[in-house]
Amino acid sequence: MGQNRKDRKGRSADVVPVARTQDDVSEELAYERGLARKALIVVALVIAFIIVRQLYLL
Amino acid sequence: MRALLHDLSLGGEWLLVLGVLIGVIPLLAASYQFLLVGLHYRVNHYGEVAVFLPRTAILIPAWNEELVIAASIDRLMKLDYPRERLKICVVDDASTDSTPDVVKAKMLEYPGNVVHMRREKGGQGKAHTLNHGLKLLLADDWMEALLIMDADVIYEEKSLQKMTRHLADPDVGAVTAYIKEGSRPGNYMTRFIGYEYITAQAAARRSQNVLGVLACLAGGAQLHSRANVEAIGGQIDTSSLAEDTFTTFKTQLAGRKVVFEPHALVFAEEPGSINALWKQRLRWARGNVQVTLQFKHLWFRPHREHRLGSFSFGLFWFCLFLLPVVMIVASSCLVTLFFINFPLSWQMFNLLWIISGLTYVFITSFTILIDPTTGTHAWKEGVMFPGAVSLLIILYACLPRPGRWLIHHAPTWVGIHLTFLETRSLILFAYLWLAASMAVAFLAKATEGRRVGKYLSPALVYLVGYGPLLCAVTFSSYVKELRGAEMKWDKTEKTGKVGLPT
Repeated sequence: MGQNRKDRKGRSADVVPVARTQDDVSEELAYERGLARKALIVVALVIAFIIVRQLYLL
Repeated sequence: MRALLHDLSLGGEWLLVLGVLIGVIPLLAASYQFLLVGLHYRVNHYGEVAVFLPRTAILIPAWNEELVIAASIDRLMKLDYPRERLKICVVDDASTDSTPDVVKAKMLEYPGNVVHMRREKGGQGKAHTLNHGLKLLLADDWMEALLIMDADVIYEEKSLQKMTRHLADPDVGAVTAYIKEGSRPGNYMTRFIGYEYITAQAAARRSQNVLGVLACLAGGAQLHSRANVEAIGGQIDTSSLAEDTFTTFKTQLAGRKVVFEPHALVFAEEPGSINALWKQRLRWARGNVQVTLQFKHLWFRPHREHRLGSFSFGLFWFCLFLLPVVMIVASSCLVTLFFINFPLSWQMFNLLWIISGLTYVFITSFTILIDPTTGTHAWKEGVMFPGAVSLLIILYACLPRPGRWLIHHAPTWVGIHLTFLETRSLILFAYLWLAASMAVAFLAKATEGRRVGKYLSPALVYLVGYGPLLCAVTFSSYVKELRGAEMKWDKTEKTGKVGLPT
């Protein structure tokens, strides 16, 4: 930590960890997956509404 | 001659149709932006994060913050972060209240962790205040990361380390958190803002993560690597009212990524009245006008080093920036069509409002689901976001049969029988509403300070909607910039009523 190193693009990056420990991001990823599911459900509801409306108007 | 006039009239009609269709673009863009949120589980920066706790200087610009600064420092000292790696630097912008004494007392309470930086000549604005602190911080090499925040915001315990972990990737220059409205008990206005922040931050910034470009680092929560601070010149831009957006753009132009961390939660006190909101948003909107002009060479010009020139980013930026113009154009075209080709105008009106209705249903439902905590607290304001009048028009357009029945029967319940002319006038009013809603929003602002405004102003906001109120502010910002009005830094008043949710 705090050593002067070059990053992948050759820039000086003075804040680079010496040892990388993968942070536990499983909770965050689970939440994001949940959001994707919710998006699908809402889109499905909107499409269902469009179909019902069109049938109702026929 | 008659044939020529007929052709011209047809050509004019198609131009008017195009004008109405322009009104559909922001709606489709908003839906596209929210659909991108669903991709955030695949396209995000979590694959590159690592446990990383750099020495972090927290820079707090403060002018007369005696009500909030002590609580903020206490909260920061409770962060789940190694204390020896934290330094809270309060840049006191020549405060005239007891802010210096409060900060000095905190220096004694937390020796080595709190620093008081005093500016004897203040009032030049936030950017100048920040630059005073930055100059002192960059003078030695203690600082490895810099967190810029506001004096009133409260960080959740783990929020800082959730942000710093992204800096483990040296390609990342800056990280921002999800700022939530935290006023307790709050009122109708703070609930509107709470809901708006889900759409503008939790949703919009997730979609920007997916696109690989961020429009703005939140002023109350922006974390930079030291390398990034130095790369952007070690200074915050002082030429505009949108210093946060300038910093965000400069970071990305320097080839570094900017990341939004939606799980780092920060709570801030937001305006509780129309006039306070107007003052704050006018500053932001004028800043956006300045950014748009300053970076005019970037828009819609893709570049290898950054995504600021991407089509999607430009689309989102200009749909918000030009929304008042779009509303006025669509409304004017509908009204003109009303007089020259009523059936066509009716078709276009229905198309515009049906798309509006579908977008509304999709965005409102998804917004509440994105942040259920705030969504539960502010769902009524979410539902009323477009305003009662627009909701009625949406209902009429989306459910025409019950809508038509209601329009014909509801007036008879109070003894009114609408004539043909009155029905047409009602339709004309609906056509005008897109633009007229902004004018009524001005009225809500104008009446707030008066005795009648106590109930009338909130009622008008629910009637016209919070969205049109923001559009009115944006419109006002165009006028101010065109007239070259003075750039005055109007600080949002803070009272210390922000708290973490219990």
